[in-house]
Amino acid sequence: MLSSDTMRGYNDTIILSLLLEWPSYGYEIAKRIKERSNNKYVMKETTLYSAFTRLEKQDYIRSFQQDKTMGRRRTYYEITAKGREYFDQKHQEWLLTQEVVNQFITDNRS
Amino acid sequence: METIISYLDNMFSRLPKTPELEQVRQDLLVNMQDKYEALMREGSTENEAIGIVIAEFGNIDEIIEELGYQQSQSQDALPPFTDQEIEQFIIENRKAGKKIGLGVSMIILGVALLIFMNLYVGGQMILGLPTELTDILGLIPLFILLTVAIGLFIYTGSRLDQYKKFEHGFELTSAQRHRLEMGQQSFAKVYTTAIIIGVGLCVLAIPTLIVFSILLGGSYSQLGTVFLLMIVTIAVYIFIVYGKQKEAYDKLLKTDAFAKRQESDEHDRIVGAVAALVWPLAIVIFLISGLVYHQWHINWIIFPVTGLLFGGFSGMYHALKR
Repeated sequence: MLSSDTMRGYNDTIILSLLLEWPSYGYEIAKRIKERSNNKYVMKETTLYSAFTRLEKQDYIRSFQQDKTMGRRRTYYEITAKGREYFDQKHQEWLLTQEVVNQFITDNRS
Repeated sequence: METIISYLDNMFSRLPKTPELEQVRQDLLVNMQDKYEALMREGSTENEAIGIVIAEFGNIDEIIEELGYQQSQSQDALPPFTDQEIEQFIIENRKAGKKIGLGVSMIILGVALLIFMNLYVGGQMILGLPTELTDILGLIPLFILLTVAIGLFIYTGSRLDQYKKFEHGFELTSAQRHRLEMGQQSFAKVYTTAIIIGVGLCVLAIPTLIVFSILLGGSYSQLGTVFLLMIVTIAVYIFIVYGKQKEAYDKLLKTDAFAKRQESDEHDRIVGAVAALVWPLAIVIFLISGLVYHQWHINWIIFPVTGLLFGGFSGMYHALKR
């Protein structure tokens, strides 16, 4: 299980990547994060929610209300054009980060 | 699910009540409900599911910081009611209702006893006692009962004093509110039944009196009054006991009845002041007309007449002041 400290910088990008696929709501996103990480990362409820708030404030996502099963009113989120741009930027940044960090943290101890 | 709701309510209890935060609470609750139901479907026990949902909740401060809220100071927040205090408040009110009901019943019974004793003991020579003494013999049980009743009222009042601090408002969590509403609903049926029985008894008491005084006549009419008072005692006891219980729910939920009551607090004080004058006056007239003028057979009528006039006055007063 990954610590939330390590993952802090990536939460927003992970959520955006999932919203790139289809508009979604809280529980569904949390579930997909857990499944795709093979149960290695569980995003806390409050972490998820504060990420939504932050992303919405920056116009990267948009929220709307929708009634679904059992008449429960859910807040759905969809990614905006600005959000897609931001995601691409973050994607490039991640490739670079990976490359750099890999130079230092490696298996071969000499 | 109840546990999850109260957990969430607890998290939000120290925060200001704004529409924005209410939306946050609502969204979080829906997410947690989704997760809880999914876990149950996957075969978790209820306790496991609740445990996981709460463990994966996180820290509310994260959201608060993001939204730019300050945690509200505890001093300007209304005092919260704990579950035990609510339970205690309802029990205490039920006990108070029984004690006040008992006290009022004792006073009415005392009056009934006075009439009864005057009918059979008053004005006669018994055990060599002069008639002047046997005349007031009925007063002794009345005063004893009156003393005990006043004792009960004072005791009940002091027991309920500990809840004074909640009179200026308090906060209920939505789980508590939900539970109370369920309780109130199930009590409403009991209350209605009790009121119907009480009113039924009062209605029944009137023909009893008519039968006694018209058909049998003479001293039986006084006996009829004794009977009437005894039936009224039972009815009054029912009204007070169940009324007090209803009041406990109303107070806790601040339903319309109580809100209206608080508005008319000022009116109640004036009506109360008039009551404090009128009723002792009625008792004095009752006692003088009985002891001095020996009008025991008819002077009890002062009570229903006073009751009617007073009821009319307070009704008129409320109507005019509105």
